Amino acid sequence: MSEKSDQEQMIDEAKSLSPDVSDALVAEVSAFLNSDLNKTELNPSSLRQLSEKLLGKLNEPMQTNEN
Amino acid sequence: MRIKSIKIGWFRGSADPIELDLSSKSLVLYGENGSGKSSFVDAVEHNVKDGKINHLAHEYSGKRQERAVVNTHTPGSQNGSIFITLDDGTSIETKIQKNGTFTTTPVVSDIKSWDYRRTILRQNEVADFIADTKGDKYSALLPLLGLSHLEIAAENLRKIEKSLSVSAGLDAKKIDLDRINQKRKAIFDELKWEDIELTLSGLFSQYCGKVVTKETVSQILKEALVALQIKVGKQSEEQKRYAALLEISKLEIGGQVAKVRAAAIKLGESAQPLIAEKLTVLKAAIAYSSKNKEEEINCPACGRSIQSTDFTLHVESEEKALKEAVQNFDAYKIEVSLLCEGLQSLKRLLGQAPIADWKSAQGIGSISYVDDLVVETIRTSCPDEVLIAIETNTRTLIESAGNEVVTPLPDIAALLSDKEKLEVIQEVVRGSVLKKEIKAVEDLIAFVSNLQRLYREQIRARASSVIGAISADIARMWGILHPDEKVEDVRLNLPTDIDKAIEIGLKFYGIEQDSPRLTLSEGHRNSLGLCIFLAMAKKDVNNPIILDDVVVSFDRNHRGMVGELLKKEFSDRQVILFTHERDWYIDLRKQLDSKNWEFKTLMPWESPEIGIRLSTKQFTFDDARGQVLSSPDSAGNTARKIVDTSFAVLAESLQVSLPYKHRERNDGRTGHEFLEKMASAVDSFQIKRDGINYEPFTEALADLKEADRLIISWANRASHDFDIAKSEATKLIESCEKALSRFVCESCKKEVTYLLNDKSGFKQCSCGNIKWKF
Repeated sequence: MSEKSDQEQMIDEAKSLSPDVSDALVAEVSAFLNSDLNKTELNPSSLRQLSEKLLGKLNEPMQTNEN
Repeated sequence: MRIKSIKIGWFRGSADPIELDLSSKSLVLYGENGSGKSSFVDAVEHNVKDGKINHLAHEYSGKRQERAVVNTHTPGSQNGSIFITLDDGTSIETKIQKNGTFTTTPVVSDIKSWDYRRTILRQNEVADFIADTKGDKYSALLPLLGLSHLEIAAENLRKIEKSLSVSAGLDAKKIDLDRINQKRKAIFDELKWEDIELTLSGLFSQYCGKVVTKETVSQILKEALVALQIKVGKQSEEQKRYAALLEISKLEIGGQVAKVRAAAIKLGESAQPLIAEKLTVLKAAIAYSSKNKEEEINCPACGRSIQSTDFTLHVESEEKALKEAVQNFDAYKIEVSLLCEGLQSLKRLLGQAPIADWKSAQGIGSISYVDDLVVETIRTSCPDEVLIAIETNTRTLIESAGNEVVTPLPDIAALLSDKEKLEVIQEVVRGSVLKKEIKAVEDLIAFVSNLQRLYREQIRARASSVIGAISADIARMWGILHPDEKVEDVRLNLPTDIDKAIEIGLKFYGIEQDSPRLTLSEGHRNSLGLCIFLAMAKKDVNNPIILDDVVVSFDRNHRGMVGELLKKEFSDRQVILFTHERDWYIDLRKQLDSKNWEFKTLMPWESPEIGIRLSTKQFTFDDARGQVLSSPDSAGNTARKIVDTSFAVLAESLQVSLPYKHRERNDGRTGHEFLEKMASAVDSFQIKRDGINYEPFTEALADLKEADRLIISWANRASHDFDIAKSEATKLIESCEKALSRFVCESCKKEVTYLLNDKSGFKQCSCGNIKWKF
């Protein structure tokens, strides 16, 4: 099994354990894992930027008339 | 990749450039202590580690090792230099200035990709792997496992998981939601949202004069609150007075003061600056723990003495405690903030005109205290005396306001109750959003966390496979070094309870042991360290293996087995072996195949200006020559020792038998005994003088006799009477060297070691010019 399919398999499994995580977020994490940024350990600045980017994708309009 | 030659000039112990020509073969380089062997090892390390030489990295060597790298007596016009040629025809040249700065040409070379820990092993590093922490063992093996990219990804995912929680302010959001739920319970108890919505619709209809149609909850709330506020504004002065006093009476300032105190107690004596400082210390502590190899160390965070193996767990526990303290601090800040909100409300209400009469009837002290209070100062500092003053001065005012509203004015009381309900519903709606935000962040964190766990599982699965293969090599090599010993099943393990760690397990007389340090002697630990290094080095396939005086703590039997190990396991690899063990060097000359191995010796080192010198002789008599001027007795004694060992090994190889002696006395035979026996074997040693026919090698036998005569007379005098002249010592050395060199063919330069296949029993040199049979 190739390296890439191993990674895809892990992402699929993690997604199945957190089904409410949006596809957009999963794609963002997947893109990071394949990026040059993931070739070395993240420095604090890159880490903050990445976290904010991921959290930014969470701030989509939500239903508010239910509790 | 093999090394063809190493040339050094004014580098470490060298003076004018000296070249160690390996011809891409394996090499044993003998030199007594201080002769300069390690300078060649340092030269390779300088290239492999981009200018660093680990054993020179100390406070005295200078920032760039400038006080150690270049020869102290380098002439003004010269600099240090290293020139290494590889068997693919490439070479790498390093020029080192006297201030330690250096340039390397070319910048990229195969040698720079070699991993030091799988290329070079020095005497003081043999047991390092065993003494390493589990984490360091893992780090050492990681490049071999080929899992660095997975490790980096797993580590990045761990960092992202932590960073998401911090960036999202997850803890503060949870505290906020908890407070909203408390308010909801206080007003609506266990009422379901659908019923609260009905209450909201009713209030909307009541104050806005219409029924809910398509409005959103936010719109309904906004409209209802505006309508209600307008209605309150239209009340009589008496009703406004009642409303203000009712609002004052409902202020929970006393309760909030109690909550601030409780939060302060929970926070304990810790304070944010101290926590930050401790976290900084902890970071240093984690780095410290990864390097510390002592049995017991003092925790730099708390000062406790603790086992190094427990240190990481201890640091993690400290980190967890500090994180709890940070959470407590956040909770404390929220409680202080709520107290400030209450006090702001009180100040605002006290300023309202309809309660002016009530206000003037209150004690001047309490009113002045609240009026003069700068609430914002409490946010930054809220000591207990301030809390007491707030509690005392507000209690009487709130109680007094409560007394004024015992009998409610029906209209305004209902209005204010409805207003409170609407405000709580507004908070509940905000809480609903907050709850979703928290869940979304937690889901994302769980996703990242699971992904990290899956990466770790994959790392473990792949590592197990590689470690299994390395373990098999270690076990096999250990078996060669220690045949028939009851230390078995030596292997590397991945612990099941922690990541990024490796242990060494073995069976000691049938009993499983978690560490070699529990049972093995220092010599055996070193032997195991050598096996582990060689098993790791074996995985690199192409690099040379450089061993610098690694058998110092081995006894003669085990040292002898190292040659066997190299023959069996590394015949296809270039091994460069440096040793100051003369006896072992002599053994290896007989033990290792001269087709693949070269043997060279260094002359004793004399001075920085002369530097390192390669001996032109095949044997080690230069050690003795180096002593002639200063101590002829020592020179004679050294020559005798060389003869003892060399002829014992030679005689064994040539099957020269002597009468059996009792037990270990066989091992203590002297060179004289062998010389005497061999010199008397007239027909044993033969030479082809005409290129065709053999005849007795009489000159060789005469040389053996002469060496024996001088050994008996002068060498024994040197050893026992300390009375040998320089000229005598020189003659003794030359005579012994000549006798020994008779067994090396002048034509092919090979020793008489090749056994003929013609059943004659003769051993001969490579070209067959000389032969021997005892």
